[in-house]
Amino acid sequence: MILNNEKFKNFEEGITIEDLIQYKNFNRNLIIVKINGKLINKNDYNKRKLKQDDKVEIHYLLAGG
Amino acid sequence: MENKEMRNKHKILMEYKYEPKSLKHGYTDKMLYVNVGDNRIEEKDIPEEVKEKFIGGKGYGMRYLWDAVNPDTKWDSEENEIVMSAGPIAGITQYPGTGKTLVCSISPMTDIPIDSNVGGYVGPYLKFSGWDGLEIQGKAKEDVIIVIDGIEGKITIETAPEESVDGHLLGEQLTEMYAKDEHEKRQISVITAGTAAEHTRMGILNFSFYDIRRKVARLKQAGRGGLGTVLRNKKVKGVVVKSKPVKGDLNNPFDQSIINKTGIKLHKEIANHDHEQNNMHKIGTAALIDTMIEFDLLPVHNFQYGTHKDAVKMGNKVFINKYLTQGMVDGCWYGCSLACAKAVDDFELKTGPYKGHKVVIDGPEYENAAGLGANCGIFNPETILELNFYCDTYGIDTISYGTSTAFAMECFERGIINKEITGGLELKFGNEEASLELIHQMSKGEGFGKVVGQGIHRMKKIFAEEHGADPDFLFDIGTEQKGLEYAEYVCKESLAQQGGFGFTNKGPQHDEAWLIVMDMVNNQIPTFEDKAEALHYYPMFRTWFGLLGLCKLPWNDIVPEGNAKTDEPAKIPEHVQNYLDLYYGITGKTITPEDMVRQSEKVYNFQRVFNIRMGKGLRANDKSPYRMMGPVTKEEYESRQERYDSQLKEKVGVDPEGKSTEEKIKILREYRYDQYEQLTDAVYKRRGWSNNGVPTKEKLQDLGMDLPEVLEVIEKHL
Ligand code: SF4
Repeated sequence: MILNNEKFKNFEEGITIEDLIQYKNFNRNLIIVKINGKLINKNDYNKRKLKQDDKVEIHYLLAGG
Repeated sequence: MENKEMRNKHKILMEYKYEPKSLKHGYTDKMLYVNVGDNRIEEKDIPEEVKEKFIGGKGYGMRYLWDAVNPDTKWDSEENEIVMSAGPIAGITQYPGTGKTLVCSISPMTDIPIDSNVGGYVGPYLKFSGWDGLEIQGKAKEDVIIVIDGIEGKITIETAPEESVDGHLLGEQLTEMYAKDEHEKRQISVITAGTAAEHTRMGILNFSFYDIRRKVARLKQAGRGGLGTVLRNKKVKGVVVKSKPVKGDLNNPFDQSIINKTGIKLHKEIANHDHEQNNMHKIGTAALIDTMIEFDLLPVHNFQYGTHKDAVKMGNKVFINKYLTQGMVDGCWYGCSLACAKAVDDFELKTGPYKGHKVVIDGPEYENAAGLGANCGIFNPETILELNFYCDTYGIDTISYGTSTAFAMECFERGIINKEITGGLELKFGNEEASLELIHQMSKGEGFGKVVGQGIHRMKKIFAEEHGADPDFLFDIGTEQKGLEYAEYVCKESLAQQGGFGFTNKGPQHDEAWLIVMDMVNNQIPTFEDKAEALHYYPMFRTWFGLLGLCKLPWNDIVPEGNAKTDEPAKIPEHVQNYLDLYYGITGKTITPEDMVRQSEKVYNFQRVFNIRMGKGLRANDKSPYRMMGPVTKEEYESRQERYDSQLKEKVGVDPEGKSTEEKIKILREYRYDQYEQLTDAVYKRRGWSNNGVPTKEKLQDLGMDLPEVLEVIEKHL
């Protein structure tokens, strides 16, 4: 699985977006998730299981300084 | 002494009567010029061409400063000016974040132009008093104040022998002195510096706003680059601006209804989402602390590390639950519902001349907590607050103070300096008493505080020349560039942010580009071209706020619903459209997002050429100390060995196995330097600059900035 343009080393069969969010410790109100270019609805974060050939983008919109 | 008595001691050196001109479409087209050297007060008409090219705010600051100085001008030259202007949108009350003033001068830290943005009411009140901007030039012979009374139409230069210098006292004294009654205090805004601004190069300007609920003059800071040092060098103690009462239409906008509509939309968004997004109304910019700890980005021990086991002691919740007063209307200008200007009330000071006093402390902003705290190994929130208070009232830049003290502490720990040199101060990381003593020394102009108050650039020279330190090592660990201390983010793992700091005009401040998350966390801009595009767009976009008098925070510290569905969510397209609508509503001119960038490019390139004119602004000046690029020391490398080893393997193509830490540091350093050079090439190309960082003639022509005085500067370098 590709996460943000890089191979995701800790991939395990069956993980969900929700797992990734927890792993990364993101504020779910500030992220945008796309799988293979398609925007994922917040309600589907724990439904959609990720596949080995998925291209996932999780963009954290933290505004910062 | 009573305020009345103090006022009786004033001698009026000059009085100037004028008819305050009303604003039209955000402008008065008038500049106020005050020379405190020969007590001259003049008004200048702002030509149409200046308005068209420079817009306002920082644009006006740079234009008028350029005209005032010459290539040999130093920060303490008679002709150096402090120029301030708020920009055409500033002063509206319907949209959050519309009260910022931009202040420019030749900086005591960098010897080039500095620009610093600040809240408080001064800029809008100047506008309502008839002035798009204010220039202060010359040096007074004795302590003076400048009083601009926009109600009476009167400006005076007055001696002020008895008033305090420290910001929190002087702010109160002048507010009370020039207000008829409690009610009128809201119509007064004051500029002060502080006692340490007289003895250090890192002096700030405090801009006040009267907090009607707390009944106190709160202070916001134009912090960077030593503006307060310039003010005190001119022997100006303070500036008072008195305005007619604020109303929503004083800018006399072209279309009030579109401004109202746009404002209501954002207020709703903030009410609905701030609590689940950044929580600005509860904690302010200190909301960043936890995230910075999480991502290993909080500067610890002079930027050696990105987190610390004790960092939780200064986490977000500690400030929210224990210190920051909640439920107050904490906007630094009318109508800001993001209200991030948080304060701590009734804080009892434990040290210094105000020991035992109960005070209101503005902040801490993220930078203050990170710089005064973690970067110096201090994690006690009460000490951070006390340092924060004294920085503000003594008139010291919290960022330069934090970063400089962290540098001095590392030098002490490594034996580069010792107790003999510090006058007995045990300047170790985490020594709270030593940091507090240092700050009190700065106020008195005594001891080692005076040395640290010169900033890292000058400390490096002193430590090398007088104490035999290795200049190369000091260059590596001294986190300054162009003479200005780095703001408080560890950017070793974000090449784009290294550039975001490195290619700034004024020196490494984060307000031009903050790309750490986009680059390091999201890996959204992987190629040099992607990074260069971001390092073009964001600095230009953010420069626009400084031209118009806007605060950056309501742009992306709150995100509208539906943002995710847009093409470029990081740019917050709906908010960009809001700004275009506000611009139209004020001026009546329709512009596109591309026009915004172009307006900024004009001023940005002008400032770059201004730097070159003053002797910096070339490729050599955009280099970065290695501490901000990668691990300098064995301890740093080994603390994140897994990360660096895997980078050597995967990015550099070198097997770390069997290599000593020193060898690995050397290889990684060569790789990272090379990356930075490649990024420099890409950014210069994107910005239309030569390989040496000089804006090309073609670029300037294209922008309509091929002014004769600008071309004269660049021709020598192309
Ligand atoms: S967001 Fe904060 S800094 Fe910006 S204008 Fe509002 S209160 Fe002031």
